[in-house]
Amino acid sequence: MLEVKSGGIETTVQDYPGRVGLLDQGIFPAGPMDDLAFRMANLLVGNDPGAAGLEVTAGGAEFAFTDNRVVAVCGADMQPRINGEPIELWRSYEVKAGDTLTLGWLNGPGFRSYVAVSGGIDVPVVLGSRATYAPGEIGGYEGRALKEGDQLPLGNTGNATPGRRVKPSLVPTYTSEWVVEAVRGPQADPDYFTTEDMEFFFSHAWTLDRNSNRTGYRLDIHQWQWARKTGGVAGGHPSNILDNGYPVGAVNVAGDQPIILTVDGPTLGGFVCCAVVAMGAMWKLGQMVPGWDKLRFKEVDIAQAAELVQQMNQLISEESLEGV
Amino acid sequence: MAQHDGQTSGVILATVPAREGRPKIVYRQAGDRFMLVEFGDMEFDLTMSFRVLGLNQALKDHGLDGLIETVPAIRSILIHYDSTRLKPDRLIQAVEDLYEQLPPFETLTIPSRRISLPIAFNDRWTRADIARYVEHIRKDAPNIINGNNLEYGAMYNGLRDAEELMEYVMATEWWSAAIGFFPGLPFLYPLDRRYAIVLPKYNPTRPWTPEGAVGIAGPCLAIYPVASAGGYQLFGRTIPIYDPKQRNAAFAENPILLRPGDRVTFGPRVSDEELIEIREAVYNGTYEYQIDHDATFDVGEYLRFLEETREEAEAFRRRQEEAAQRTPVP
Amino acid sequence: MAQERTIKSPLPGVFYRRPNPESEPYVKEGDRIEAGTTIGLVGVMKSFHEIKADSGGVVVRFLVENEEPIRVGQDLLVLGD
Repeated sequence: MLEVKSGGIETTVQDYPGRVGLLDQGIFPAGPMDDLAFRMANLLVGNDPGAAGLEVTAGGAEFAFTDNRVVAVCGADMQPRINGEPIELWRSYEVKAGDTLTLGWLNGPGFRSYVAVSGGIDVPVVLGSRATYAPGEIGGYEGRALKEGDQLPLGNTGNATPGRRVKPSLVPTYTSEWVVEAVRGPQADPDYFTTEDMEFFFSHAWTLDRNSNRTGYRLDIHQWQWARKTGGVAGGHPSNILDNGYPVGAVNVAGDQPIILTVDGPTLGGFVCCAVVAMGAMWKLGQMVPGWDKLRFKEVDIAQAAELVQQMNQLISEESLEGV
Repeated sequence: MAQHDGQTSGVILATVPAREGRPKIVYRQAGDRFMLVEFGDMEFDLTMSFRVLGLNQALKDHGLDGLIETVPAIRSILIHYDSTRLKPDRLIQAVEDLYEQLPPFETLTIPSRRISLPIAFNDRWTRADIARYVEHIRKDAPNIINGNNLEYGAMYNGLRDAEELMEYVMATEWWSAAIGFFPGLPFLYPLDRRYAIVLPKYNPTRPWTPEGAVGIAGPCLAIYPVASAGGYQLFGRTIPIYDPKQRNAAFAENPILLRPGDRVTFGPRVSDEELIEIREAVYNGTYEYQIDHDATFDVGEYLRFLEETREEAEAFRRRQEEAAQRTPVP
Repeated sequence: MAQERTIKSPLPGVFYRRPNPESEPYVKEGDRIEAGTTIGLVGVMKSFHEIKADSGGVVVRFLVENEEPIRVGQDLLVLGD
């Protein structure tokens, strides 16, 4: 059992890749915002990389253990401590019954920290996943963020291995100025946006709005040129189209405002999407600080984006770990 | 090989021009793991939805390696695929092959359940959220008359009064062309064009909408699966279409009630008190949802029905346009 | 000479000096406060976190405005003896 002493700002149970295959029912996949740190944490404690763990956002959470486990914390530095003693990120530790794991406030760049516990968080599987999907109030612990007093069941611990770490050269580096690989489409130029619009999109240093969360990342307002004068039958504004499905990670432009549709986002709607964040770059979104961080989009094609995914999958393997 | 006409620029991966029996199809790159397949032009044509759902079913049945899922909408299918295993060209070819093998459009029969949902018009819950909107968001919203959107809806569509608007909502079957935005939210379109109400959206949007609220914007009717923000003009409330706690047999297999291709009708008409009782019965498991699981939709028959009712539908459309011109928009 | 020290924000977000727009500020310049006194709120992702003083003293001045966006570790106010 994992007892929640404090849920902090927003702590949820997630698994990877979340609820895949339900887009046609209106359900985005959920899952961790930073799937790289999340999967690494699981790997460190001997879990399947996709096993259910915790996503701690913006800091401040505390957990107590009721039996012996192996834990790892990966992602943003929230000054994690076991029984008050500082521990390193990207490294597995043993905890005993009665021990506490505390995550404090953010220290340096990054915004989300991931806690993996050997055996995984054993909340019920809902529609194929344990991931918390707040818009539908399903998955995770009662479909919501964790609160003080919640008791999380844990799975059977298998080949848990404390005392391992991610090789220091392979630990991802965080920044406040991100470069995010993205692929054009489906309503980019030439028929919805102009070439100049897309050049601006791929060169501007966008600021992430403070009203950004798991459903969407809002970027700066921009006066687009638009290739069409109106949205025709779909509405007065050229950003309007007849409703269509939205890709996960799409940069959706509603009027003047681009919004990246993150893992809890809407599945379908009537606004254009000028680009889509490459699957292998989605993790970076999870570490951006709303209201402060800047991001530029770097254009890649489908083949280059597929290559990114393969590189990432290679990274998430035993070869990336070492004994301490 | 598909006959691409060479119009491949930017995100358009292939364009297959219209020819006898099939509309133009455009294949658009939608990132590194999605592709958007668009039928015809950007115009509202409900019959495109039948082609979409026909092809969508074929794609699901075929089980192409690397294809993850499909998202049908009114004139498009968004395909989710694994680009490390399935190259875009191969995917386009596979879709074209499947489309060519579909039976002629006029002979399509689509599995289409019939579902009827009780409705309380101008109910106290939607009125309460509309009152909050007037108090906190916009005092002079022209789409709110006497604390509801029904009277405005009647005015905008050239109907006699709110009562006639309610009759129109109940008179047609509503075609579920897509499910999305929120979990289980249906995008429903009127199959009988003689009763096809059209309305503009809220401006600005409304921060609150009750779960189960029924609203219209453009030609589309939506039922709100969860309490949420929204922009549709509200006119009533129905029973749950989404239950994450799965408290009724209708939700036993899936917390989401409706699917693309379903046909929904509203009725019987109930009071607020009756709706409360029915909703309680839904949650304690004693209410039985009215669903005909085995119904099918005959496209040819429907096309003949459209032809038979064309003149009346046109007359209503003209009446609506005149009314809309003299009605303020939000 | 008075020892001046600052209270820092533990998280990024928006700083609020009042519990809600209709209320008085939690503390004003010149107030004497105890360790543990709430001096403001930081809102992040629609959730609000109380910022408490880690020691007692007199509020000398605020270094951020009400509803100003703030960074982690940013100084919020100066506390004197």
